[in-house]
Amino acid sequence: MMSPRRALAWTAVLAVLALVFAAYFSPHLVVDLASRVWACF
Amino acid sequence: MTQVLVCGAIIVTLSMGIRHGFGLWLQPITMDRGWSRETFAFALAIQNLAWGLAGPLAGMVADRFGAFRVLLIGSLLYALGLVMMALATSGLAFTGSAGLLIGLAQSGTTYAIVYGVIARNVAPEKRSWAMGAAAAAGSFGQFLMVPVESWLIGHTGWQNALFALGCLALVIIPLAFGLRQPPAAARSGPQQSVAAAVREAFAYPSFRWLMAGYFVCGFQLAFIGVHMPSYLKDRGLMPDVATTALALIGLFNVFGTYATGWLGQTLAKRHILAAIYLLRALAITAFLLLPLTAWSVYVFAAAMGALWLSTVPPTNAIVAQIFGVQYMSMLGGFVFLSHQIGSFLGVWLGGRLYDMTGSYDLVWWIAVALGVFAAIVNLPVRESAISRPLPQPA
Repeated sequence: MMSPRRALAWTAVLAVLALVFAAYFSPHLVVDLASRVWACF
Repeated sequence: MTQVLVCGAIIVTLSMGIRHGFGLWLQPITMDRGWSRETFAFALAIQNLAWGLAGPLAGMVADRFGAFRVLLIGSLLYALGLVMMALATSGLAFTGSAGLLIGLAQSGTTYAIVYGVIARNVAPEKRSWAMGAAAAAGSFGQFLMVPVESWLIGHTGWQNALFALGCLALVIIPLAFGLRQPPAAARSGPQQSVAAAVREAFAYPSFRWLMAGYFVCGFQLAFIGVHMPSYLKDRGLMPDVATTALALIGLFNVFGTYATGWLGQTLAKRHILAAIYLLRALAITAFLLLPLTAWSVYVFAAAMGALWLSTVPPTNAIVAQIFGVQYMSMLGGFVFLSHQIGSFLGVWLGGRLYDMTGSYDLVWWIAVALGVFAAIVNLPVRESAISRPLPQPA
């Protein structure tokens, strides 16, 4: 059984990961990243 | 242990993260300076080679004189390299800064150096987990810094973005205080010379098998990381598919590295490594044989992401298990050198064979064959501590 403290830590980690993942899908970043990634080739 | 782990994890987050988005500077720098893409690519190739070649030396210094000094110099070189990268007006200066200086900085601030301290401060039964946690932090740094660096370039300009990263690299210095430890001479137990440690490792077949596996790891990751967008473009997929794939690789990489470190506490690490390389070969095979769609790319990216840096904790944990922790950073540096040679070949051969054959198919199948080879050569690795003759009484 996971302790409440550990569960809270894992929740925080997952929330941060979800936030960063979401950042990749902001319209500005998608266009920016796509153009830069493609520009490399 | 907590202090070492937290400081080490943040250091690796910064050192792995800062350099990960360097591709984002290609367009603004080459346009502003009027350089060819080759100038930029050459500097990054030198960076990767310098990182690998300096790794054993940086590791040896860290093992002998403490990781703190190496981290301090590494952090300063990192900041200096970033600032000079922003100010470089010739290809030579750019290669010296973005290539040589930052490559040397990485050899002094990334996994091998931090793992040496972790290995010496964490109980053997928890070492694999601790290495997994630190590797996951490095993976998170890579995942985090791409959008951060894109935002910085977009809002402050490419030069100011590099200055900001230079300041960020200096944050490694206060964190390095958390990894201070007594120099090798002050530690208890029998001491081995550097030359004896190197001779012993290279004469031991399992060390060579680990190096061979890590070579394959570098080959596969560098080929996919560099040539994948080009491959998708050739096959008619939209640019946003590559961006989503990049995000998925980054996300699953964090879980994969942590999971293999955690699994290494209970399972044989050679079996974990063999499974990783075999699963990579299977994932690439399925990707090549199934119809290519946006969703097949996403599934492949998630699978490869989970297997991306997952080789790092078990490989380094085995090195510590076999040879002990006295020269952990140096031996980790040698194994990493093999990784970087594989990376160099993965990038170069990918381009070379594409030019020769007009497609990436041959390199993809080489990556599959190498994956099977790496799975096989990791199976006979002996994880038990090497037996050394007892010191003779004087």
